[in-house]
Amino acid sequence: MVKYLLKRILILIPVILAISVLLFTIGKLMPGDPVRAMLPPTTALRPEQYQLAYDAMYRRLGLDKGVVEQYFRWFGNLIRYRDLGYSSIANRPVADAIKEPLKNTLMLNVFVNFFYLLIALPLGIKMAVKRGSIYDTGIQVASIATYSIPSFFMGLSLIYIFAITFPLLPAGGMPNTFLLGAWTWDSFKAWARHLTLPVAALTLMSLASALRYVRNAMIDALSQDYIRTARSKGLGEKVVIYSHALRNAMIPISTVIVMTLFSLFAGATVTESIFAYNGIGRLLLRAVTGRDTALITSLTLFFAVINIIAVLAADIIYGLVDPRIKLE
Amino acid sequence: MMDDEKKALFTLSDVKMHFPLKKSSFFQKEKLFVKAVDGVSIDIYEGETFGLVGESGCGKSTLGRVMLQLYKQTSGSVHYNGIDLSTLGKEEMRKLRREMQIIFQDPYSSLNQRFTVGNIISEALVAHNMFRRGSKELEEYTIDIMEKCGLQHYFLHRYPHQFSGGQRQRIGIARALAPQPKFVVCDEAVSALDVSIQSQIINLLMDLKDSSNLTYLFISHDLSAVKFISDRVAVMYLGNIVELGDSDKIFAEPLHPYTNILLEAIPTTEDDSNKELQIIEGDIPSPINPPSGCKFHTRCKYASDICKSEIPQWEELHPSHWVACHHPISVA
Repeated sequence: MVKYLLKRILILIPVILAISVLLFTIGKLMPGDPVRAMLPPTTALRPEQYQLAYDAMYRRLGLDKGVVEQYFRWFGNLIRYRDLGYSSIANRPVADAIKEPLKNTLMLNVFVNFFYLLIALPLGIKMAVKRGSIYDTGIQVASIATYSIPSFFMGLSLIYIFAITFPLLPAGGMPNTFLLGAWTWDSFKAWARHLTLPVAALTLMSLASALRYVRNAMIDALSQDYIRTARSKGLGEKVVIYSHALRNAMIPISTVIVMTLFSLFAGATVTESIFAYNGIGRLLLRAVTGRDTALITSLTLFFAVINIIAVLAADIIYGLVDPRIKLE
Repeated sequence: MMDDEKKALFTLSDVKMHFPLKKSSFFQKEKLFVKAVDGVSIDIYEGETFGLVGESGCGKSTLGRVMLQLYKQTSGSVHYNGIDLSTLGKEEMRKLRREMQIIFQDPYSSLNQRFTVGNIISEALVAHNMFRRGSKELEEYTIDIMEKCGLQHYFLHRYPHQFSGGQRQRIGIARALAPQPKFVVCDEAVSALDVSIQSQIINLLMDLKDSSNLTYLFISHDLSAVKFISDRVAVMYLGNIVELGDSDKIFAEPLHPYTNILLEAIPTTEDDSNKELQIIEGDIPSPINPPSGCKFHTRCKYASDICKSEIPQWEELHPSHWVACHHPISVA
């Protein structure tokens, strides 16, 4: 097991190196002038002064060196000082600029995942047990409908209904900053009000695939021969479903759960932007529109690493829940 | 010989099990059924081993499962100890399952891979309140039954996938026998195993039968195994019993042409090179649209016109030797 883990982690190193090269190259190829993005607007300075400042910044960013050297400086700084570069749109080091949105996205996704599992598991199991019934078909049709609605439309519809037609909740944005520090009843209420709509939108949209997954895994498990064995033993129907079938259905489901847990860190670009929610998805969109190369490269590298770890974790969990698989 | 004092443990009267088929197209008018069991009436006496033979797909397994109400029969009735099983509620039936167990054909798919051997065997004991979950007595009893079935006590915490086919079949047997049933359906219990293990398992089943007064329904397409183990044998063809009698009678003087052909197909160790092998022609007809009259007439060399039109009567040609045939062999 330990040997397997070490091997898997060692394999990850070249993968991450390759991804970093790729992302750095893409960052270099992106249009836009990072030097100009770092300087105050042209109108604030006289042309000669601007040229001087431009050259100084050009050197400071290391753009006078060769591309290969630039890559090693960038990657070296990342490893040694955890320095991700300087974000031009936030006007701060990238590491600082990411902190707050990452926290917000995590907060949002914890709730999304909580509700999504809370709904998808029991509903999907019931759909499988009552397979082919009106209940099953009805939920399938409804979930396909929510799945097919584009995220911006879902977001805007929720805003239209719950913030404009019935002004119950804020249309978007974050709670006031003075509420953020302390955990009081007021700050809790403010968070709840601001989180409700984005959480609802994201949960609705991710529900369909999860429902199908749980339903199919359960149907598969329920049609196995060992279910007949369990019934022939004289076990109650609840034991047959929740102990025998679910335990087997959890093998494929658990890997999906692990993957979703890691997607906690990934922001929802469109939904967060629609609700003006200061999360990492919205930050990425702003970085792209603001041509903030350092921020884009850092965020995409971050997502890539999270994904790699998620796949590894899913494999490990798979080996733990399925006694037939030995990790070697 | 069966005496009159023998008590019928199971009584089946005109049991039919028809599985509905999905319509192949929207315009198909009539609903089609696979007539897996199409009117079977038999008694199984307490303490006997009842052999049930027939080709693959003739409805043997289905009949065994209907008896245990793993399928609800389409029509007809199954009485166990005088109780009509179809009148029982879910919970009553569940409790009764302790007394009637089944050893499944496939020792691979019929064991839940997420449960340890100990759990698989002991689960039913807890469900029927015979032992408390996790008690010392339960573990001792489980190990005891495992050892009776030729499984080592240290297998208790292993998973099914760690075993060979023969060992898994033993797990299935231990599992079925653990709740001390009165009646066990052995559904091709040995067919998946190789010959050396087959005889071990059959001997095991016979030993256990003697020590705990079991009644077996032994389903198999392997006639030599059936001959060895059974007191009475029924021959099934396309959802019907075509012949029923004491084991030695059936094997010595079969009445139904189908039985005869089955018996001649048994491989022997003797030199039979100058004996003409009778080959049964064609495949088993479709159970969706079975032939009219005697269902066997399409493949029977004695078939005449009456066989095509009239369903043969179920007759007791010799004492306790029944057959359904217009032209039974030895009586001709």
